[in-house]
Order: sequence, then C-alpha cells, then structure tokens
Amino acid sequence: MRAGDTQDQEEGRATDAAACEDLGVEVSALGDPLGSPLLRIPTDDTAVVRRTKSVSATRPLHDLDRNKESYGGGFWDDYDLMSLGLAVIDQVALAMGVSAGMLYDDARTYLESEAARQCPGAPLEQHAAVAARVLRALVGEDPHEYTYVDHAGDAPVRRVHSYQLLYEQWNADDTTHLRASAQAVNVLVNALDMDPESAAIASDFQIQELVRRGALDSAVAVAQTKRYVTIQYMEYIRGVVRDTLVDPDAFDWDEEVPAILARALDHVEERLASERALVSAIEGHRAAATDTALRQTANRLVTLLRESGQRHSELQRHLLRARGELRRAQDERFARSPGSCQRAEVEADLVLPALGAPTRRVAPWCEGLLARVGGLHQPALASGAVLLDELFEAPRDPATGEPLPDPTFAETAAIVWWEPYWGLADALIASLTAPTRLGTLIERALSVAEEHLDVQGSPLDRSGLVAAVCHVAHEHIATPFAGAERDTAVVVAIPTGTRLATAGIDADDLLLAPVVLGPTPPETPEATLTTMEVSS
Amino acid sequence: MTPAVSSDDLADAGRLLGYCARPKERPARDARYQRLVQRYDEDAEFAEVCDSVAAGAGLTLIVDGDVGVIATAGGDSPLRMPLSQFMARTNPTGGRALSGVVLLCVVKVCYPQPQHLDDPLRVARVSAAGVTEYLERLVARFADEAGDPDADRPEERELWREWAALRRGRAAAQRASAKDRVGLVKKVCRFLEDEGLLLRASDDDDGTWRATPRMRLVARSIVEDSDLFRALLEAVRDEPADEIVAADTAAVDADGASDEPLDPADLGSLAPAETR
Repeated sequence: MRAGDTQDQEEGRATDAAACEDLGVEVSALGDPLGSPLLRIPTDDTAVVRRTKSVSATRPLHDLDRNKESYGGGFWDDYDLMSLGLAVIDQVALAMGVSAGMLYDDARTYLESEAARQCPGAPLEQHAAVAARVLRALVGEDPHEYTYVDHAGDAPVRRVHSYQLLYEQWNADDTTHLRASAQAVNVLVNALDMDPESAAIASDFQIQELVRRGALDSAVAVAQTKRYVTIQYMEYIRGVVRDTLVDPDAFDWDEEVPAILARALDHVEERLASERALVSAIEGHRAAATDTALRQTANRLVTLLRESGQRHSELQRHLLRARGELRRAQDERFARSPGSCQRAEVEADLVLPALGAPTRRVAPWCEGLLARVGGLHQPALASGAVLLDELFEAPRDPATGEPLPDPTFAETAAIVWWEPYWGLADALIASLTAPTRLGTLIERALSVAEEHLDVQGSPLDRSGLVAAVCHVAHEHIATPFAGAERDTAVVVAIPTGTRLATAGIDADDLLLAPVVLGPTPPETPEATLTTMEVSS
Repeated sequence: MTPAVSSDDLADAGRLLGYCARPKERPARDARYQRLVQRYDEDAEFAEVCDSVAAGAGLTLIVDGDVGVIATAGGDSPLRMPLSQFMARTNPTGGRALSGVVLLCVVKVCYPQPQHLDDPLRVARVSAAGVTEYLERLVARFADEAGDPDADRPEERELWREWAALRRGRAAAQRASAKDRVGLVKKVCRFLEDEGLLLRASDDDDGTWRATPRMRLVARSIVEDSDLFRALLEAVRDEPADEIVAADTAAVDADGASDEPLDPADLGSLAPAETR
C-alpha cells in the first residue's frame, strides 16, 4: 500500500482511529512508511500497568536464583532454587482453605525433602540451609516492593507496588501456617492478568462444553486449572473482608459493602450449582462408559470438581460469617465516635520521655509496666488435703519425646553462708594502714573470728576465716594493675624470708604494705625504686 | 435500678476471671471458655458484672473472641505480679527500669505503624538483636545531644545512661547475662514468652519470636491507656499531673480560652498524636 490516499484508505483510517478511541488508545500522528496508522500503547495503559505488577511478582524467585554466589557455602549451584520456590508456592496454595494453609514446619520439611532429591548425598544441614533460604526469600517479614511510574496526574509519579508471595497467619493453637497470596497464585497458574470471577465462570462453561462433547481428558486439564482459579477467588474475597474489618470507616456501608458481599455470595452459589450439575452430567457419562480408561478419567474429573465444590462451600460459610463480623465492626464504630480514643505513639510519647528522665523518678513507672503485662501471679495455695495428696503422688514418667522443662532457680535475696567470711576478710585487708606482717594479720583474724556471727548466728569458724583471707589475696595476685586507675588502693606483699609461725599453715611470711597508686611514673628507674622503698 | 445479678452470673464471672491466669488457653479449644467469652461479648449486663468484679481486684479485662480474656493489673492490685518474680531486688534499679523500656521497644518493633495494632491477621516478628539495635539507636541520639552527667547530682542521672553503662555483651554468646545489653533484651523476651505474648520462632539474631494475637491486644491497651501516660508525665516532670494541668490551664486562660479541665493526655509536647 502506498502513501497516496484513496477514498477507501481514508475511510479505513477513520474507522481505525474511532476504534482506537473506543479502546482508549492514542493514535500516533505519525503514520508508518506504508501509510497505515501506528498504534502507540502508552506505558501507563491500564493493561500494561496490571501486567507489569503481575510480572514483578516473579522477581523474588529470580533474585533467589541470581544471588546464589552471595550466599556462601559453595554448594548453591547444586540446587535449582527457582523450581523449589515455585513448587512450594504450589504446595502451599493446594493446602489452602479459607482459614487454613500449610504449617510452616511442614513447608520446610517439604522443601528439605525436595532439596535432598535435587542433590542426593549432600549433608542434611545443607538441605536445611537451602529450605530455610527459599522460605525466607518467599515469606519475608516485609512485603516485596516494585516501583513503577504512574501518569494519572499532571506529572509522572513514582509509585510503589508492594506484594507478598507467601504469608504467615495464626492458627487457634498458636502455631502459624503459610498461605499463598493472590499474586503468588497468579504467577503459579501462568495467567498474568485475569479477573478471578469471570475466569471461574469461564472455566465452568469450558468444562460443561467439553463434557457435553465427551472430551473428558481435556475437561480434566481445565478442571485442574480451575482449582487455582477457585483459590484465587477465595483469596480475593478474603482480602476484601479483611480490609473492611481492619478499617470499616474506609468503606461505604450503605451500598458498597453489602453489594460486594451479595455479589460474592451469588457467585459462590452459582458455582456450587454449576459444579453439582457438572458432576451429575459426568456421572451419567461414567455410567454409560464401557472403557475402563474413560471411567477413570471421569472419576478423576469428579474428584477435582468435588474438591473445588468443597472450597466453594467453605467460602460460602466464610462469607455468611463475614456479614455478621462486619456488622459487629460497624456497631463498634458507632459506639465509639471517631477521635474519641487517643493513642500514644510508643517511641515519641513513651520510650523517649522515659529514657530522657532521671532513672530514680521513672523507675517505678517502668517497673509497673512489667507488672502490667505480667498478668496474675499470686496463685492461692490449695487446701491442705489437696496439697498433701499432690505431694504424695508418685512422680509421673515423662512420655517419650515429651520435652522436659528446664528447672529455673529463683533469685533470692537471702545471704549465702560465705558472705560473712568474705566480708570480714575484705575488712581485715582494708584495715591495713601501716606495713604489717602476714603472721600478724592472721593472728588478728583468729582473734576477731569469735566476735562475728555467721548466717546461722553462731561465731565464725577460725580456720575458715583464715582461708578466706588467703583467698582474697589470691584474687589480687591475678589482677593486672597495669591499667588500674589512679588512687586505687592496693596491698604490696614482699617475702620476708621467714616461715609463718601459725600452726596448720605452711607458707612464707610476707610483709604487707598498703599503697595508693600514684600518677604514671616518668620513664626513670627511680620511680620503681620509690615504690620499693615505700613497701619495704 | 440496679440489674438483678444471680449467683450463676457471679459464678460465671469468677470462671472467666479464672481463665485470666491461663494465658495459653484459647476459646477455640475449650467450649466452656468459648461460651463465657461469647456471653461477655453479647450480654452487656454480664460484661458489667465481670468488669466490676475484676475492677474490685484492681484488674482491667480485655476480652477478645479469638484470644480470650486478658487481665492487666493496676499498680496497686494485690494480684499483680510481684516484680521480684522477674528480677531480684538486689539488681540495681537501672536494670529493672530498663526492662520496662525494653518492653516498650519490643512493642514498637512488633508494631512499627499504628495501624498494625488493628490488623488481627498480621504476624509480627521480633528478634533480640533487632530490639537491641533499635534501643542502641535511640540512646545514641541522646548521647549526641547530651553532655556529661552532673557529678554532684547522681540522682539526676537519666535512664539512657544506664543502658549506655551496660556491657555490650559478646556476640552470639550462648549464656548472656541480664547485665549486658542483649542479655537484658533476651530476658524480657523470655518473660513475654512465658506470658504467652511471644512465641519462640528460631535462634537467629540472638533469638527470634513471633508476637501472638494476645501481644497485639496488650500493646493496644498500653497505648490507649491515658492513665499510664499521665503517670509517665508525672514521673518525668516530678510533680502531680493536677498541678501540671492547673499550670497549663492558667496559661490557656491567659490566652482567653475556656477553662474546661484538660485531659492530661493533651498536655505539652508529649501529647500523643490523634490516631484518626
């Protein structure tokens, strides 16, 4: 076609432009060399933006595989992390109901066993490290983020799209399970952009048509994909209900919320009805079939449809319950007018003032905080009869695998028996004011021992006290005084060359001299001499 | 006219209080517990009876359909946990006061945004290393701004200096002592674990925990309690809040404003921001 326009071409171009306008797509003013108009898809085209976000959901998987070098350990090349990541998302998604999912530990065990299959013969710890790495990359504490450019306003704005692949949720028994997010299911079913509601309807029709024609094999393939569509829809509805519960003020209660719920309920009821119809149609085929393979296929199809039916009826129950919950959340909002409750900001209002205030004044407040979360902790004593029964009860042998609680020892304020000995020994050494012989000090210890009482109220044991004095001295031998601060009081001991006269102790007699450390001596030998003179 | 309270009601109230002492029990696992929690939720008179009985013992009840019932004890409640159970009296005051701040930091790390406190499905994670690092940052900020302490007035030593004075602790030490920084944080986390507020997840980062739904409710009760805030204000300024109120009201009067009594939570630069 050449650029020379004929009437037909003009008309053709006009209709093209009109069609493009209908689609909301700009037509470039520049024609291509052949004269046909060029469709210019802007980067902020809604379909492009939607798909960009969807594609970004695969990034954590790529990152996981690409960063292998940086993990350390040198064995990462033996594993295919991307397939492990995808498979665990698949596994988690299949385990999902409205409120359940896969236990965290189950997911880890699954990954460990798959890792072991990828690299047989490697040590178990290595598989465990791989499993932990994959889970951490997918579960992550913070959502993954992707920044894109939004042209909706006057100027382009960079916006952050945040998403999760797997996320944790509490069970009633304080364990957590993993769930796959809608984005994760998106990646998994290879449908990068679709509306879950219409996709569900479409797959039902598809199966219906295939069953009518007797193409059960193809119907099984569609039913398998349909499973994910159901899960995705469930996740979508859960998200809507959750957002509404968290912030009821953000929604229009007159029309919007009831409409969303009613629509979802209708959709689920429709799906349930169509699944029931499909199952009975397939059962008809199965009864008529003589071929074993065909019967098996029909059975497989029925199982898949029943599974999807179970999910739908669970979702129906969830929706019916959600209506009640939403109503209650709304009542609460009415009872508590907006702004009637003020919240302190933990860092600015509580932590910083407390840290900046004198300890003496805020200590009682801080301690009260601990007592507050400490709950009730003064159990009343059982009656005498019960207590006796329990005390005389034979100890129960713990069952195999039952964890034994670690004994905890209370920190008590009671004085331990050796404290009076140490105290007196310290006092004796501190009382040295002039150079004294060790023998004299021991004599002194022996004489004062009887004047002091131990924890039980009886006089101190004499040899015990002498031993304590010797031990206190040992502590000082071990301590290096090189870095000691000025004005530290120390005792210098010098052998006198004689033996101790005390019975029961065989040792050199020492001359003990109290010394106070002075300023760092200048680099002259006299300084050392001065110290020596003082001590001798 | 006061509503008639039957002895059955009182017995039920007693049973509900009994569950306060079992932090790890859940309504979902115990039909009787579930019935009591449901009754508290639906029967306003019964709820009032329970609250009154609890208030008499110095307790405040938090009741949640999933988590169950939580009692928080007031400072003068005879049932409150004696502090000696957490840390012996022989420990220096600084260590015990810091434990309270560490507790707040755990709350902050678990729920960095105010709206996290409203999300029942969010599973918060907290690690001892993370909390230590956070507190380290806050204290470093104080250290940058403040000079050396006044040697003549040791009683004016601020709380952050107690943290700075703690030993740093060896990295990844198995046996940490409550006298070093990570050790103190771990001790508080283990205490919260015993109370059913945290759940051990792994040993990474000096110990990682998940915050249970119970933790969220307790954290919310802390930030919503204006009495608690008022008490801190009094402690920080070292004068009764009434006087602070009087002084500030006088200041407002001088500006020609009304003389309505002020909520102490509205006062000064420390007032919490409105959440909505």
